[in-house]
Amino acid sequence: MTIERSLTARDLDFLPAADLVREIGEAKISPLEYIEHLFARIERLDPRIHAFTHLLREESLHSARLAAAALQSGRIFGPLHGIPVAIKDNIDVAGAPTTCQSRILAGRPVASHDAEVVARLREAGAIVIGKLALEEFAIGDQPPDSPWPATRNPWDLDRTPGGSSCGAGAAVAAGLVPIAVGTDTGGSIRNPAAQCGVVGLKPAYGYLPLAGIFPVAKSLDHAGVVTRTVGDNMLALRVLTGQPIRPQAQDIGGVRVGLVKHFYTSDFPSTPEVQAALEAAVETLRELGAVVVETNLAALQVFRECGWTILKAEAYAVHKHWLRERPEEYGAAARRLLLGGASVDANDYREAQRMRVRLRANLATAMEDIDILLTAVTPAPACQLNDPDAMEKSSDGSLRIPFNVTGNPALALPIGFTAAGLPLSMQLVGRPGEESTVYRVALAYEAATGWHQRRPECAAHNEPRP
Amino acid sequence: MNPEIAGRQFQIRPANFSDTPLLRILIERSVRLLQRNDYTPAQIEGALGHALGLDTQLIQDGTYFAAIPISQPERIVGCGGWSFRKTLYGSDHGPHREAGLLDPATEPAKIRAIFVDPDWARKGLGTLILKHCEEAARQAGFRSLEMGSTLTGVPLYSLKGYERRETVAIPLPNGEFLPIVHMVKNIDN
Repeated sequence: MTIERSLTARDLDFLPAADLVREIGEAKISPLEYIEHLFARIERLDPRIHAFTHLLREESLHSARLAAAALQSGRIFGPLHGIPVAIKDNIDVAGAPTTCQSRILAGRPVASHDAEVVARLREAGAIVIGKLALEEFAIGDQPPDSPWPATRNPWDLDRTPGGSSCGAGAAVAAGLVPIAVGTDTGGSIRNPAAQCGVVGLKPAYGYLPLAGIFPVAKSLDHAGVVTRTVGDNMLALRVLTGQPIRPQAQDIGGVRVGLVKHFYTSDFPSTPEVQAALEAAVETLRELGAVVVETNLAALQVFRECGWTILKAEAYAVHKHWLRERPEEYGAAARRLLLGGASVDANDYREAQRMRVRLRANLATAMEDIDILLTAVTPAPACQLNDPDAMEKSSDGSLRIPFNVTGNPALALPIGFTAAGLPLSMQLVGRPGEESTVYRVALAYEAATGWHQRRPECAAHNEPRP
Repeated sequence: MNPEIAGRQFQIRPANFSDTPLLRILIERSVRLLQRNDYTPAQIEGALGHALGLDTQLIQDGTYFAAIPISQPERIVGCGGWSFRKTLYGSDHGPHREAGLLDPATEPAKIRAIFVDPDWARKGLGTLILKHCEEAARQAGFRSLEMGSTLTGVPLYSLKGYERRETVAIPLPNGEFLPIVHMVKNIDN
């Protein structure tokens, strides 16, 4: 089987997974040729982006051959037949190491089982092509003395891709894989999605199973999906949940949007470009028929204090043995953050959980007459990797952790670019169990704007400039 | 059935408001068929939509869940929830509603309104929903749980570590009374 000539190799670079499913099903693309195409791109581009920590080349090619043979005999394994996916390296993939990009886990045997989310993707016919970079234990950074090079933002290789699912954001944005699975404890899917100009969803707490995923803080941990299009995100979530997630309508006429402006204007002021892009996005939603009203929630500082107290306490419980026995093996940022949990006493934790109940109840009340909330994902576009102050601000999850505290579904969606060509993003937050409403608004906005069709220059099909 | 096996057959997700018609049908069917050996028809008629039924506050709070068979994803075959509010049992129109918030450190979370479709009973689904709710309450910082169980539910909940306290007769709008068993469980481990 060969790639039908109506589709060029260039077309394949950024083809949405939903289109790939159709093209593979109609035998216009062979799963084997597509995976070979992606590996060629990874070989060419990833030495500069560093999105992958581990490639499963031989296993992937073998799986692709099986998928191709199955198609020839008229069999389809599932709704992601032959579709490549990549997995954040704190999620177990059988036969691959789970490093959490930390020396602490170096030398451990490879995972013997797939995490449940990986198993579900494989059952649907997906092919796992590799593991993706993350900030240490999904809480620290990518320290300069780490064995793993820092991941770079495909839109500007001197800038951060955001974290902690940095490999997921970078690989998807660079056209190295159409679907990536990440984790989000304080915004770790939404931040890289925003900084890399792709779509990142954290569904409701507890919706996706966490079995086989190394914990950060159990009561805040979520698994989720990074893709280039909203449609692909919905496709992946359907497969991961086995649910017929579908928007109730194609248009958003009458949808009530609560704009949480104080989060990004006064609580944690964002740059003028971020604020202007959000205003423009609001205007677009109004033009599409949505009713936008300003909604006030608790101050971001209250969410932040509550979320970070819980996060630090729960993360410290996971790491305290290693922090005592092998502290030098952590990077400085991870060690500092994790040790911060040692000073959270039982009273602080109890008070934070009390506050969490109040915040959940307040949000439920605020959303009684609101279908979806809209706010910023990040206060600024991607910053320079060599600017420590900006990097610290960039990794501050204040705008994102509120929805880990409450457990609502939250999605980062591209809304344009800065004058310097860096992606900008908005955060859409649904009521519990209403991922389909989030997708409904995101689909309508994406179709009206088309930001997802822009490509980073470094990931262009032709050889990049030296 | 082993809950892990049941867990591979069902997806549990937060319920949403568009689920409410299906949930109401499921609850009514479950009560009428699975509780008929424990309550009279008059008690069941009086309790439905009152002491037994859907509390949409839980949906709004994100603490009510729908169980869906992987093989039939359009169906909801079980439901149940937990709550950080004081109401112990009952539907939107139930008695003794108290929307006040609980203190996770000192008060028990409520386990609420677990119902299974009669066609899907005895497949481990009730246990699966219960486990899901218990874990969610635990992650929210609660150290103990309580519920107002129907007589039908008592054997399962006893098996899962809940201790019986008093039985209360709930007055129903049709003049009947519904015996409900107060049950508690410590999860502070």
